[in-house]
Amino acid sequence: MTMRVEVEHRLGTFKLAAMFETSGGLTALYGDSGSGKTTLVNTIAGLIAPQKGIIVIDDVVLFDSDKNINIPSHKRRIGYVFQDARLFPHFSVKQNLLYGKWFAARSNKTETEKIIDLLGLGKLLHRMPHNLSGGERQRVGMGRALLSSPRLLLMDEPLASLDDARKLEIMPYIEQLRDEMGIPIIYVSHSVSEVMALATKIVLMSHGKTTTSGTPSQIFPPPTGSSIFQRNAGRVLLELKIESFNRLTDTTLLSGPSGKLRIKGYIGKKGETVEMSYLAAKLKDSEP
Amino acid sequence: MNWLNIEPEEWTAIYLSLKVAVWATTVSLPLGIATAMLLARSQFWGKSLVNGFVHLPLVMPPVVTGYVLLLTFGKRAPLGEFLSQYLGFTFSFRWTGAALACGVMGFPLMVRAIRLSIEVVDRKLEAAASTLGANPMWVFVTITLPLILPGIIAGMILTFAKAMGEFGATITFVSNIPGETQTLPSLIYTFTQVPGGDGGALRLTLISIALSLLALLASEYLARRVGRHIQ
Repeated sequence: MTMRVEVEHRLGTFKLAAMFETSGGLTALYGDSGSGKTTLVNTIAGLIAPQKGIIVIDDVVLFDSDKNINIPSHKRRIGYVFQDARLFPHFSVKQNLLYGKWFAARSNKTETEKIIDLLGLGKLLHRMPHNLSGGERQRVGMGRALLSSPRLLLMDEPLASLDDARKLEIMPYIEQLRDEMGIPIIYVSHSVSEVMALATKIVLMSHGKTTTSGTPSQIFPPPTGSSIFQRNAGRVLLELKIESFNRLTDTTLLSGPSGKLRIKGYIGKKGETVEMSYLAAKLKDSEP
Repeated sequence: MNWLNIEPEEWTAIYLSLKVAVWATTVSLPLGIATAMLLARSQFWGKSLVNGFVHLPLVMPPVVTGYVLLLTFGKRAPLGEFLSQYLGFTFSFRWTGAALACGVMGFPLMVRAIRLSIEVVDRKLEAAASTLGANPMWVFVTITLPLILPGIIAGMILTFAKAMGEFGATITFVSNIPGETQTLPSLIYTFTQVPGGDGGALRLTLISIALSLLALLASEYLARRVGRHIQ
């Protein structure tokens, strides 16, 4: 999959002038609130027609202002996971999930079961949306978008409305979507920890413009310049040195370049180095 | 109901009133939804004019509305003549004319109720449906329509109630012909105009109150049922 986006759109005093390319994986659009991230994904979804530009996925031209091409959103086959889930209140979870299937050209039963399984939705199928927690709602929203068999998945701050515990609950599901479904994802976020944990490519946005893009380590280089932070399957790998073991509290004190960490149990001798894999979000949350 | 000693002509009026009200409500429903969508969703030149036109029957004296209908759809009026000549359809002095008068009088109420419910529909849900592959028609049928159902029910009940009680426009447009255009209110009026008609007027008044109350209860029940689904 290759995708090229080049759009210009003016809304009052705000001007969006964005340009990026991606070839699969999870591309994070990172920037402050108001930097135009949501407007940009809305143009990709076809919910906003930009005044100028071109949007191409593989050989399919979704939008081209010069040639007057603007494929309507319902024909674009682009799944959209919204920040506020936007589940249909009058449909059950199951009906919400299967909504896109009414319109999808092909329907695959094992695929349906796989996605329901992957997102852990089996027990929720007969509930109504107002009986779901925020995290459950987001998972249903993801499943609903995936089940419409999209060629691309847009996720607009899917974790922003959730508390930290819920975020940690959802992150592994997004990792799985990225790694197992093989569907390219555009992920909007203003959280470094999310982007570091999930992205294979980061596009920076500021004041309506795309500024730089690159791999996570290029965009957010490790603070000390050493290779302490390594990305591994959406996680951050930490290299830590064992400082001491406390028999009374049964804890081991570890030290890294940016601080110390105390964990339960005996890990090894003093002076040895250990590698620990951490979800980036959790790492950030446990910062002193 | 025999203890009320209802006369055959009274039964006829009750039946006619129900028939007129059902037709007036049913036929104006799709038109009402379309008009409400137009007024709630689109911007076009002359929108306030259309809005005013729709609401006219609400603010004009019913007799005036009836007379305007007579001028438009009467036997010798251009539109009425055209309809009867080419489509074999007449409104004047027929029960269909009574239904038309009731529909016109109830139309602003229906449009208002539906328009209000359209304005509170979260359009983001419609956008979500379109990203899932639903074309505008399907978005309307599967998302918008179910969400505005309470407004539609309210609009239908209001129109139905209005049609059951409509008097001025009906009697002006189609007169007061027993068995054809003599609806409940017309018959009550007739009873009050003749000596010894008090009993009949009272009976029909009670029936009228009962029917209105029933419609109100039905709407409450339906609205609650639907409301539970879409909260």
